[in-house]
Amino acid sequence: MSDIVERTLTALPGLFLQSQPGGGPAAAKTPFSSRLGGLVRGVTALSSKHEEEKLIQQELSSLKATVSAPTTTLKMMKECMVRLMYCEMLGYDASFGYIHAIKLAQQGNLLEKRVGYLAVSLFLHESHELLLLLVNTVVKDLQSTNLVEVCMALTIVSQIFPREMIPAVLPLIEDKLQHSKTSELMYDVLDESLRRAELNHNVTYAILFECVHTVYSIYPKSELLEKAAKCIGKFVLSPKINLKYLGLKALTCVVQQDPSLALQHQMTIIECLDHPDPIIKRETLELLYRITNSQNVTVIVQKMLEYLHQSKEEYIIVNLVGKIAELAEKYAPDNVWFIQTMNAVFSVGGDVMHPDIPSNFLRLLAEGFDDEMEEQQLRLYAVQSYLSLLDMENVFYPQKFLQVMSWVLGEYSYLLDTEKPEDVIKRLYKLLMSDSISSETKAWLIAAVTKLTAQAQASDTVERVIQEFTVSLDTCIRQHTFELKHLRENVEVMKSLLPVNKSCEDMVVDASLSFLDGYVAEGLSQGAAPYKPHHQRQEEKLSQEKVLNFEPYGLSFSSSGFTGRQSPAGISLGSDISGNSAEAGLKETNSLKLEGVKKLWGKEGYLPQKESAAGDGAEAPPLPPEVSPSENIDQAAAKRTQAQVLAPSKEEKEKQLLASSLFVGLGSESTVSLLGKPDVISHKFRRKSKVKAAKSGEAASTHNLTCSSLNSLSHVAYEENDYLTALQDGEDTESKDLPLGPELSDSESLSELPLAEKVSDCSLSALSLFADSDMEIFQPPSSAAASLTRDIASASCFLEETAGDMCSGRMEVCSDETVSVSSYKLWKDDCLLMVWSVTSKSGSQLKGADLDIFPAQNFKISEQRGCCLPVMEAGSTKNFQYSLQMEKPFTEENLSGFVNYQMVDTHSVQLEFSVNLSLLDFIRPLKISTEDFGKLWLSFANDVKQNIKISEPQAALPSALKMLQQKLRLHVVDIQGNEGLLACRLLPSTSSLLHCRVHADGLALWFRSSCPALPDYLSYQCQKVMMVGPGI
Amino acid sequence: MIKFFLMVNKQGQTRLSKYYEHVDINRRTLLETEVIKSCLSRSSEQCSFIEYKDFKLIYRQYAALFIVVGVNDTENEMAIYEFIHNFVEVLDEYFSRVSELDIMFNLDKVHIILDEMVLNGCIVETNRARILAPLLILDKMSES
Repeated sequence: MSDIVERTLTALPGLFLQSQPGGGPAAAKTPFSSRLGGLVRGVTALSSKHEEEKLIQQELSSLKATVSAPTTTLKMMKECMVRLMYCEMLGYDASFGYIHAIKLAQQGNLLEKRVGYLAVSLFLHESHELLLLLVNTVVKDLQSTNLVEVCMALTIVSQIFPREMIPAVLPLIEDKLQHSKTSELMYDVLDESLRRAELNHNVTYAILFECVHTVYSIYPKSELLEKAAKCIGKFVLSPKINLKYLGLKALTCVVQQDPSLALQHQMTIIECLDHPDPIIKRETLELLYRITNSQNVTVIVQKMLEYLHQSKEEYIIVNLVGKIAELAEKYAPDNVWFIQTMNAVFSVGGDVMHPDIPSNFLRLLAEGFDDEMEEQQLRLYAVQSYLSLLDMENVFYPQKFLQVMSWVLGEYSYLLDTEKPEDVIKRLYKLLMSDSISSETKAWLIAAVTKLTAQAQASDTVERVIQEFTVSLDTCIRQHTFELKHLRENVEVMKSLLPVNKSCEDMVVDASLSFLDGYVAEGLSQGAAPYKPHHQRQEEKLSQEKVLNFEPYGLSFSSSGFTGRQSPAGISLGSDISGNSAEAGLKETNSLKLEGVKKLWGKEGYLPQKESAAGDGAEAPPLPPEVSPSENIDQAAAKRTQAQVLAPSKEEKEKQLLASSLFVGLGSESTVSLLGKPDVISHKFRRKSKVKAAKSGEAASTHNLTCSSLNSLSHVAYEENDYLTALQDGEDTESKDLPLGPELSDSESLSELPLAEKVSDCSLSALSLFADSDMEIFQPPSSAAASLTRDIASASCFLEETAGDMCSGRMEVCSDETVSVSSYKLWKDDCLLMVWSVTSKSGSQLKGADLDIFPAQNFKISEQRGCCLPVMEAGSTKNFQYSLQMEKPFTEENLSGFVNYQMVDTHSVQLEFSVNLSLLDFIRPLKISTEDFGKLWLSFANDVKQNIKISEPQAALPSALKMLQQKLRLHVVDIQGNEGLLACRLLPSTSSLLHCRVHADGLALWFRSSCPALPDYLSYQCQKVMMVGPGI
Repeated sequence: MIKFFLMVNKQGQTRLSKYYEHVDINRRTLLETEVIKSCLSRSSEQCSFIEYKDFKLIYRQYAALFIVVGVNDTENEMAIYEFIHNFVEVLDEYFSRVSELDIMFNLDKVHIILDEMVLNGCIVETNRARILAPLLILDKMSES
């Protein structure tokens, strides 16, 4: 029905244009649909293939003209698409229309959009490069409130989305699946399936399994969950081995949502752990992995290691080793256990494990954690443990393990009291001379020797190392040895270059290699070709090959990373082989996600009588008293199970003991801990919050450079008073006409955000729509018109008062029948100013209205008192202002608060609201000179490169830069030929720089910043702006 | 999703192989050998599912003939387990008491049946009559 109305409405302009008397929807459609009909009839009437070709070519050329004409309406475009599909169906190329199909899907209303999507799905294939342009549209439609649009987007995703694009939409689609509306439709089917699947046959089990899986992945319904749990129970307890397997698999899937299930079946799980069938064992371990917490980690990891020692399959080893390392880092109860577990991981996992494991381990050691003492002890224990491992005769360790050892020994041997550096060097020397050592490991070893040499007095062993390896055939090792040799001759330099326990400090390196300038100039004067950096060569190569860059989704991908293990992606100045903390500056982006781990488990163990075998005494949970009435059914059920198995043989006892240590920490008290105090079982190795002030002198000077360039900004100081007076003045402007349009477009050139954007939300466009069109459209009801005027008026007053500051359009955040609360963002130079206005709808006076903001951890919020003007007080609107500063970088965050008001002779009412803030709200232009840009550029370590495809890139640079200036508030520092420099700062004072270069078919963006997360975010935003921007 | 479908006898001779994801021709032999080896090493008390590299194998034995299906992690093992039997029942109906010889000498027909049941790695049909209908029509056409 609505579809018909929609079509009728869209057909109206066409009718008016042709000035035909309207004849209802059918008449409106005729002129368009007949063209397709004509084509079809024309083609069928033809007698030869040759004629057909002539006709179709004719048709195609007329279509080509139509689709590219700017006057073509979407309605006409839709009709063109259908004809294009027909042509392609007959086998004629219509590739000129592909881009228009995408545009139609982007811009059309429902039916047009559907046809656009349909055309896209017919024209394009999975690896077609134009698909990239569709991503934004699909993402937008997935978020649409219109169900039909969502369905279209879902259809196109399943039809045509290639693997690389899935992560861009997956979270949204998962969200849809979880939606209660969607789920409601499934309840009956699932219920019926579960009920009817009583039949004792394999295939019903298969169906049941799918049902259970579904029940747990959709929006939960307790009745179904209960049935599903019962079903899982039947599986797990079945004597049939295949069913048991299925039950374990189902348990593994659901255990995080419903921990009590694991408790119910704990004895079965214990039995499966010792099952003769390794596959069952493996699945059980997978289940245990999901329920690991800091109390049962030792037992579970031990079980995993046992399995690991038995298995030979490389894939299983890699998989298990990764899991053990992850659990060890997350839940390690003490240093000794952690190091020993990691030793086992490195010994078994050896050279097959994921390379992130050793690097994460080393990073953990190097960066340390909150407790300084613990940190030193961990390092010391690692050193001691490695020394004793190395002292064992005839034991061979994997190369990766040896590399880890050599790095740790090199860095932290100084902690040893008993042994001198010389002794450690001797052991390293012994390794160096061994035949079983790869040359990569040798390089690590020599790096360690070099570090220790800086601490040791004269050492014969070092002498021998130098003698031995300065003649090595391996150039890398030879170079390292020569470095060692020359450094030894200058102890001062050596000590400053290899400071003790400074692996995480940033070394300042003259990245510009300015000391080579003379040499370069000489080379150039002799006719050498100028050096092109690697990325530039790469890009040139790329642009020659016309290869599509498939990287644009960097940020959205990484944010969904499931394991939190990302390989370091920053620049490395030196060779990584040296083992010399080349990872500095990557800490924040790559840190382990230690806090993100869901804690579903409470503290209650399985056997109340037994002491917990896991963890040490201090961490053991308090033994629960008798079953209190408040305990829930799950727990009671667990106790029943326990009662049933209380006829203990010795073996049984052992199993129960195991159970108690495995299932400790699981239970129903989790809800209590959720409500009350936060979970106190903290991770042992909680990372430091790592924004260290630079310590070395050189680093400080870099810092100064940053600061000075920031200070040199032309700060326009906005005093609050100015702002207030302006606000008052704003009252007067209400009476004025609305001369907004022309003024706005004039002021665009300098301001980083065009003023037009400021009022984007205040219905100006609607006004112009009324003005331009000749026809009558429904007159909005007068109250709406009034509120519109009011909106514009108040928007205009904000425009004037803030003079240079940018402000967003007014947005209603909440309302009820008496008041409405709307908010504005004011992007002030030094902070984000949020203004909330509480307006009484009836126009009557607001009594005792008050507004408060909930504290948010990422913000520093301060209220701007005294801004509630007396004038406003008397009227129907009351304004509240809060200035916001960002404490911790984030990409998107919600800020919520509430309004309290009291109308005359009613009780007080509370209204809650929230607004969404993005990092973009805290980005400000950084006005610096080209020279400063150059200096800053070199001092920043974090960079991200990005290629964006645009059409006619040569002409597009100025417009692209302008767009970045307007949309992202970047300051354009300079434009030279086909390169542009932009700069911005993240409040309060983190700067980021952008270098754009145009090449044959796109725009190469290169971001650098002192904050690791910023370049990624900016590149993502740039890409977003460019993709939706004009010129497609 | 189904990655491959194999029929191999106890001697390790492949009687039918169908890959739903491209595998290099010279790596196929190796894979088939390894697969049958891991199936033969299992006893009847052990479950019918095996982890093999990053996918799972589901197998059933009919006399000397193993039918092994390789699936990825998202597949329902029990459904595949039953699918194998379904497939054998279809063969049994078509060949009336199927034997390994039937499969050897009628490779094309077995393939046609399999194609009716599995498309692009997904089970699409389980109804015996509907699976066999196209093949029976083909047979009739060639007779007349």
